[in-house]
Amino acid sequence: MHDVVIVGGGVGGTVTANLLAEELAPELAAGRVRLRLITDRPEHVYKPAFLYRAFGRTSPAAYRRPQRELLHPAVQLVVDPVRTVDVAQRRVTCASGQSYIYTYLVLAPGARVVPERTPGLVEAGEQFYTEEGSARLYRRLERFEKGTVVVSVIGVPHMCPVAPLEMAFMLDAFFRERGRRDQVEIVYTYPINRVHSNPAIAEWAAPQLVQRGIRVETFFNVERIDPEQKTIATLEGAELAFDLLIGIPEHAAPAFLEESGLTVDGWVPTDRHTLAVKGHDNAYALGDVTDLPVSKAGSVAHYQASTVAANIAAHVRGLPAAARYNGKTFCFIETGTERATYVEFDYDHPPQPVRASRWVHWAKLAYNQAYWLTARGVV
Amino acid sequence: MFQPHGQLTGETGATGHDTCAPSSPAVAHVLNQFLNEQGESVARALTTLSRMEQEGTLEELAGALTLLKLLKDALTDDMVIGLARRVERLAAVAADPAVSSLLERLPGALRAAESGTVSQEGAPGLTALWRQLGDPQVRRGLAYLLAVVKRLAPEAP
Amino acid sequence: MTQFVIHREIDARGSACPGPLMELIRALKAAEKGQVVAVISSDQGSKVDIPEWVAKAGHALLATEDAGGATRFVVQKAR
Repeated sequence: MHDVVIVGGGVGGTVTANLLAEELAPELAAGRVRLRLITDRPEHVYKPAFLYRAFGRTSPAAYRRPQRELLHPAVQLVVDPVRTVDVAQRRVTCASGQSYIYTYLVLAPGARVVPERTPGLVEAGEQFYTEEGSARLYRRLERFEKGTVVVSVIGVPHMCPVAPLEMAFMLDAFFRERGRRDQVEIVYTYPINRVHSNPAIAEWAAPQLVQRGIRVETFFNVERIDPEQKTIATLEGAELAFDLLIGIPEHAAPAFLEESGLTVDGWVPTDRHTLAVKGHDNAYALGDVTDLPVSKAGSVAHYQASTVAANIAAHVRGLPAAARYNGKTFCFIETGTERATYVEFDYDHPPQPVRASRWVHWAKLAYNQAYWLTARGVV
Repeated sequence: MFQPHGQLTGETGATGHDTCAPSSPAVAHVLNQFLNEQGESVARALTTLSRMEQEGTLEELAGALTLLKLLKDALTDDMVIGLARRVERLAAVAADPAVSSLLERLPGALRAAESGTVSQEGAPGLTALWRQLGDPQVRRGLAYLLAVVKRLAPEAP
Repeated sequence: MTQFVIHREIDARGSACPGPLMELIRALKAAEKGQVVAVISSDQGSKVDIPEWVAKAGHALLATEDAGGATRFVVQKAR
């Protein structure tokens, strides 16, 4: 009996489970394989919706679905937060005390935000990387009449690498639509000497920011925030005042992975092609939790899921695990509230953004709905 | 107005990049010949193109074509295979004569049920149900359902 | 190789841009004033990015050394 345990109910875990259920249908029917997905919540949340939620453009009903509905019936769903992973004993133990022995393990628990690591950020900053955060930000934006809005990238790497740029573009459009743009200054800050870590995206985005009158501060590494004075102090010795701070907080892997000794410098060391956890040929990692130099984006987890599913199916059948991930990434980029572009790249090919259009914006809106087909493993 | 004759010479063709120069007279010759033969249709095509450009249709067309490029960029071999497999399965089911014959009867049957006594008056009593069994059409329907039910579950292991 | 009392050394070889710079920034953030941090990078962009950032942040670039196909940057936290 092969026991496949998948930790995580986001896009990576869900798609891997569904692809495996389909591929291994004969083995599952014959009782030679058991598929389990362990997650900490009964609902699946489509996180890219939070960006839209921050502008009041979507509601929870649109971005939440019961996890059970999305999973192939052959996948056993366990809703119980994982506490430890014991690779020596091949055992995953959950909060309830229940533990599960695995033959193959898939780690896809995602990343979490840790705003508490930046002094003053929790007290003085807003963010749109959680459901509550984006809902709160929307309430503040609707009331925001005039002053300085700072979109500050504090933690790198972070989820959805283009989201801070999209936030800046959408803020510009949001205040223009309400006739308040001349009362609002928008500042975008980034830790290195360009506006995005990817050179091609930075080159594309810089003039877009200028065109919209968005002020850019680079080499801007936030050291602390003074909630009383409403200022940001940087490691470079600069100080920036704000009326509304939208911070992209530092990110971290779930605590149980660190406590289980599975992280190095915060993330799970992963082979860039096979996606095996380094040093473990029966464990795979995908999505936001890996240490790979790829975007922490849903599309990455989606593409990686087919590699991981193919390799596990091969193991189960005693065949060589030959599937390789090539670094493929796909991201839509909203350039306002009406137009969008996208980038597609991999380990060997840099991105080339296309001209922003209404068509691509519609494709993004359509994909936000069609995402549920992706989660089900349909496309 | 567009002039199809005598507009392209080796000299004008060679004013561009130096690297193009050696082949330009040849290119000009071929183009001249082509325009002599196809001048009128080229002129019509360019007029249409120019109109589309002025109306903004060309720009929209280019935008819409990005969607095609987007699909190509977003999809992978695995995704195309998976999608095609599903379409094939769906099409095979839909093309089955039994399915298409059922699909033809289904909307009428559902409409009758929606507007019939069940939806309007709630659950019928046992006697009313028993009386309905006197209707041969009801018995045929039940026999049909039972035949389906018999084969619906997977084979017992 | 130049001799300094290195407080912390980070091997960021294989890490793509802006990984090495971000590693250096993190290490300097945690260091005390006067302490020395070294970072080894195989990324070509680091040769420009790291000296530029060190100057902007007001720290001291003590040495830039060849480290077998990679570059070793030795930086002192000055503020």
